[in-house]
Amino acid sequence: MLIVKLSWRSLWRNRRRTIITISSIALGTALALFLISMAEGMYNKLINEAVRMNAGHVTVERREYARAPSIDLVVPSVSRIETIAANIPGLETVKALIIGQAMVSSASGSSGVGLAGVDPGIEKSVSPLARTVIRGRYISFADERGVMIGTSLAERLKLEPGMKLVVTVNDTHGELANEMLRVTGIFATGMEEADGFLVQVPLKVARRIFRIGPDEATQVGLVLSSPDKQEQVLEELNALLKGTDLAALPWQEVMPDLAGFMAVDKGSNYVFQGIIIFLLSFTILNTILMSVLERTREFATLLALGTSAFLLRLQVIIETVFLGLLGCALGLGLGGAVSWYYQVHGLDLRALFGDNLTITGIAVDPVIHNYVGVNLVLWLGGLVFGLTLLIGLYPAFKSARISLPDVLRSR
Amino acid sequence: MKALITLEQVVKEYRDNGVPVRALDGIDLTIEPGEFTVVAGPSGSGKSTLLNLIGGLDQPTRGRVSVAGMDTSVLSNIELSRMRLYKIGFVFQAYNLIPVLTAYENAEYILMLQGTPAQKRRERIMSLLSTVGLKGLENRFPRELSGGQQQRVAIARAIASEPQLVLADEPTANVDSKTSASLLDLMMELNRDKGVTFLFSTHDPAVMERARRIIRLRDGRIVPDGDGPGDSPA
Repeated sequence: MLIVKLSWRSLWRNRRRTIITISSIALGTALALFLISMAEGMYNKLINEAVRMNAGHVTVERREYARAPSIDLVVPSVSRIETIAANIPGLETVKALIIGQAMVSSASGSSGVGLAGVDPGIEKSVSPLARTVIRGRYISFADERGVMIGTSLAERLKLEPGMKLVVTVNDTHGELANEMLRVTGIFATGMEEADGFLVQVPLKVARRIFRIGPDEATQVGLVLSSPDKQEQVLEELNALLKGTDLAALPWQEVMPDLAGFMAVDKGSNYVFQGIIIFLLSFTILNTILMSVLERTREFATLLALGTSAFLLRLQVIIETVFLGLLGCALGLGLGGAVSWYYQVHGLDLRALFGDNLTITGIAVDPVIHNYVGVNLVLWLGGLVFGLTLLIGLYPAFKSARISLPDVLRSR
Repeated sequence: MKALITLEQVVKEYRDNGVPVRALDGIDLTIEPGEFTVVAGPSGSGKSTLLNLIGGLDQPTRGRVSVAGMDTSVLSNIELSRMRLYKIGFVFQAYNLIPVLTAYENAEYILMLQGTPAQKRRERIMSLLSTVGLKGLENRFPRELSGGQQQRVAIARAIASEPQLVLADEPTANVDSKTSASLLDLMMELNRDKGVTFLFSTHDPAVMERARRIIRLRDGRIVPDGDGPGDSPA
């Protein structure tokens, strides 16, 4: 107990230095927590928008589809997948998709596009694209010939809601098929890939054009209420699909570009945080080392009185523990409070990026909401505290390496 | 009576800026329990080195140092540390109190290391501080005490665990003559009443006058080994 008292009081011997060090640890930790939680919030938003606009957190498709997507590689019974998925906890919705290549033509020209057959009812409630209609209206289940086009495509082909266009595709039988459709609405996601080269039609229209069966789709997407459940859902689904030529894939495999971007971005973010923490570690080392070096006479006295080297080192370690605990607690409190504020209210980046923020082709709301998870707080706190302890080992080791006669003789 | 301290042909050499220096040169010495002995000599004569060897703070280059029946040259660092903790009390010239501990806590420190129960510690330290004339100053930090008061705390710390031997390296060098006399009175009283063996180093004639035995050192050798003019043995 006396050692703890000695450590605590020794820490405040040079009050200003201790306050500066604790503040450095606290600010570094707070900054790291804020930046990481902001990045986590952005990733969450990005994943959320991407999976809702595309094929869900978990996608069921034919095993060969991922390697060579083809319109004839269809999931034969969408309703069976829906039945299986219905029993999986954490499921928000199931969305069947038909994705194929097409050529669209108007009186003013033609363009190659990706044609997506979607369930308008589900898409309207789930997909961010349905919320970006700027003219006309979003397609509905009843539309027999309705089509949504992006604003760039509409400009190129000089199309407006109500106007006709012709879609030409290679159907599942390998034959050229075309159909006249009417523009229901025009969307503007801010992503050129979508606005210039994506058209959406109701699922039944896509099935008719591509000659796909009424219970078939190229992909069945499962949108989950929480991305944390993805692994569990994947395991359960793949167990149920064992023995079939269907596979349940995570969004990371279905959208490798996005997953790759996030991995690289996360990596560079961690490197940046690592540099901050590395620089911080020198401040901590400097403080503890200085504190040890200027007390060699005192340490020599303690050793002479019969204090063991272990106890002396423990005293220095306890001082480091106090520094680390105080710095971490303050940093996590400060960083957590700021991050929590922006988790609730959002950080508006429109001044920097305008209204249209796109990341790897995914439109993202420029108001970023931080995400402060318990795991992040524990992980970061543990890392900074552990590093502080690690740094304290050298001064602690040095504290008991004293030539007692030399130090005690010195005046 | 079995000797408390025995030195046999002790030589201590060290290097000072690369130059070999023989601080002690063939010292033979025996100190019995209960002695009140002064090691006297000019600066550089080897007084502090002798005390460091006896205190297990340093090891002889050659020869044998035995304290309370233990040969210090064969003890490990941990054993030396335990020997200092349980057998020896130290009083330093510059007091060497721990600045962040109060007078009470400084005196209590060794008892805490020894694991003495709290109640017993409290009784002993309060009584000791009263004995050394520091009653009412228990909660003061060293910076709030005069030099003499600090040295009294150091003495209280040295004898708190009732060691067999107290080594005092020029304990009165930094205090005025009145305080010096008062500290000597205190240590002689402790020697007489508690039978604690005191071994001082000093070149203060006033201290030497009070010693019962004086060991004179010159150039690392003992000159004579005679009785001092102080009180009669305990």
